[in-house]
Order: sequence, then C-alpha cells, then structure tokens
Amino acid sequence: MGLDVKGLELRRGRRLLASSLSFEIPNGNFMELSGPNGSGKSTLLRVLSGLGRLETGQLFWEGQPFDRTGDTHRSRTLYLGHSDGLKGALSGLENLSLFASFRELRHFEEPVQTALEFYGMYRFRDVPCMRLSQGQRRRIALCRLMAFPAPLWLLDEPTTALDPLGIERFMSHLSDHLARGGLAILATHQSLIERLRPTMQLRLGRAG
Amino acid sequence: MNPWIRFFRTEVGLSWRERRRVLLPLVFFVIVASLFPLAMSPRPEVLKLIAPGVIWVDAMLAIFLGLESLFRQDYEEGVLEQWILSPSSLELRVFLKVISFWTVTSLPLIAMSPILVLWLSFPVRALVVLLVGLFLGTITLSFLGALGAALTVSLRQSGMLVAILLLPVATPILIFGAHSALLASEKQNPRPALYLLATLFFLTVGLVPKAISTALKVSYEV
Repeated sequence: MGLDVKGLELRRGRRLLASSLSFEIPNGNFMELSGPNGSGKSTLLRVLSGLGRLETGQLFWEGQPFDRTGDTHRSRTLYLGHSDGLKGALSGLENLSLFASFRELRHFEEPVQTALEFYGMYRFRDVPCMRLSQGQRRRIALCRLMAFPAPLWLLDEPTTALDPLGIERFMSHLSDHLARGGLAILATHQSLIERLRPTMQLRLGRAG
Repeated sequence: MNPWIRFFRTEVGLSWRERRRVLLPLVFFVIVASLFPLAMSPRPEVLKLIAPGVIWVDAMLAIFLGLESLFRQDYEEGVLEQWILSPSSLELRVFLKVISFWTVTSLPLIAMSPILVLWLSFPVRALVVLLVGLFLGTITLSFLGALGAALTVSLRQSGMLVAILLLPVATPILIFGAHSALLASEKQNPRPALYLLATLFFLTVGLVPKAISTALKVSYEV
C-alpha cells in the first residue's frame, strides 16, 4: 500500500528523462532520489505533487487511483521545492500563519510554536525572512512539515544550506514521520542519510 | 479568524508595506491628468469635454502598469506554487489577491479623481456617475490586468507586453465608462452606458478568476 507509481514517463520540455518508471513506497518508508543534475529528480517530485504535467503513467494511493490536482491529494501532500516558499517581507511566524490560511486552518498557533522551537527558530520568529540566513529560512520552511502534518512528503533537497545541527533535527523529524506511518520522497545529492537508511533508492539518469 | 480574511489582511498589509508600489501609480495618475490642461487649450469648454476621457485612459494605464507585477514576487519566492498545491480554492485566493491590490491601489485613485476632474472643469453634478463608473471600471480593469500578469508571470520585463495584450480587450470598458461620465456632464441619461459597464463588471468578476487560476497553473507545467 502507500504510494504506487506505474509506468511514469518524465519529460522536461520535449526531452525524455525517464520512461516507464515504476515504484511502490509502503507506508512508513522513504525513498531517496539520486542522480546527476538534470536527471529529473525535481521533475519527478513536481509531477507527483501535481505541479508538473503528467504525460503517461498511473498513480495509486492505498491502492486507489487518484487525481493529483484534487483537494484530497493536496491535503495529504506537502511539497518543498528549491525555493522556500516564504515571503521575504513577512516574519517566520507570519509566513507560517499565511501558510495555514492556504490550508484553511484556523487553529495553528500551538503546533507552529512547537515547530519553531523544535527547529530552533522560536527566537527569530518575528524577524522578516529576508533578514534571515538561507539556512534559517530553510528551517522555517521545514517547520511547515511539523506544524501541518501530512502523510506524504515530497522534498527537493530539503537539507540545502542546513548546518549539521539542522540536519540532525530534520533527520529525527523525518524518522518520527516515518514511525507514524508517513512516507517521503527526498531528492538529494549528498547521501547524508546515513543513520536513517532509505528503504528504497531510485537512481535517475544514465550512468556516465 | 477566518483563514480567507487572514489571507486578505496579510495581502493588504504586504502591499501597504511596499508603499512604492501603491504610491507610484497614484503619482502617475495625478501627473498625467495634470498634463492635459498644460498641453491643450486650458479653456473650460474644451477641458470639460475631454475630462472623462482623460481620467479613464489615465486610470486604465495606471492600473495596468501597477498590476503588471502582481504575481511576480509570489512566483519568485515560491509562494505561488504553495497556493496551487494547497487544498483550497485557487479561484477564491486569486479573487482576494486582486481585490486586495485594488483596495490599496485603485481606491486612492478613485478618491483622488474628483479633485482632478474638477480641475478639468468637469461639472460637480456629474461626479456621482463618474465615481460609480470608476468603481465598476477599476475593478473590471484590475481583473483583466491580473490576467495579463498571470499570463506573463514567468517572463521578465513584461510591462509593455501586458499593456499591448490588454488594451484592446479593455477598450469596451473605457468606452462605456468614459461615455457614461460624458453623458452625465452633458445632462443626458448615463444609465445605458453604466448598465453595459456593470454587465462587463459581472462577467469579468465571474469568469476571469478562473482564467487567471488556469494561467497560473499552466505557467508551472513546463
């Protein structure tokens, strides 16, 4: 069960990146995407999130085919791309509150506070994001995963710009997520996931 | 607080924080309108005749120039992709974004217009018609401008392109809007023109948010 992908074709523009890609991620597992630049890691994540176009292939959640652009898929998915999705003029706290409004949530103060404390950003909660460092902004972006739980994480290089402590926080957060039956797909360059062995690895792009 | 109201307030607050974006269209609006008495004959009967047209063309240009970058920042900061991926109505979010921008940019414009038209010898008794027309017209133009902004969100330097794209589409609004004010100033019945303007208003507000949402989604489907 979990997420099941069958016969997916990845394209960037007209270029074919991968054909008949199939994999299944059971609940409580995560898959590490690797491959050189331009091999389609981000494209795959964008297609699964519903942002990119699905050319051919079928997607199943718990054995049921689903609509990537439907609200059911959107509420169970959290996507974190290359950009942090934070408004520079707003503080971390305001950004998380704005994000809560995207998901039509009314009560979010407590989980947001817990998340900010967990990622060590509570002290900086009122600083406009444009005055934070890249790593700090990434921590705020990761707070979304904690404050607004969703079973499917699609993360594009989530540890970029994080310091070792930040990475450690994220890893322990990820293992909690998996222990609770969540699943995750992570695109990475560094195989920093040493303590937490990925259940599956998908290598995109031809060798050489 | 209701999440949609919270979103609207955040957006209004954000535009207000970047006052440059709010003030520049307003300054542009005032300067352009004041150029006409200088460039043309300052005789009241001439000015009175051109006043509605001047105000309407001026308002249209100010709105389109200001709106060109409506979604640009959200796009570059990656907030727009979170809009699209959120389990809530994208159309409603787009609608509120446009209305929030209208509140901050066009409302001051409407508030400023009585002073400008009176300077252009426009009769006071026709002021209500002008204001009603501007109210309907600026909202309609804002939605059209937002559509242009959405279509060109992934391009850099799209200001002129948006204007060229939209000016033909916006012409009917200009015709009915300016003529309603002109008719009122000449003691004729402005209602037919206002009703047509209202029709365009409802059509635009009803249909364009959907078109904007689609345009935004397509900009991500590389």
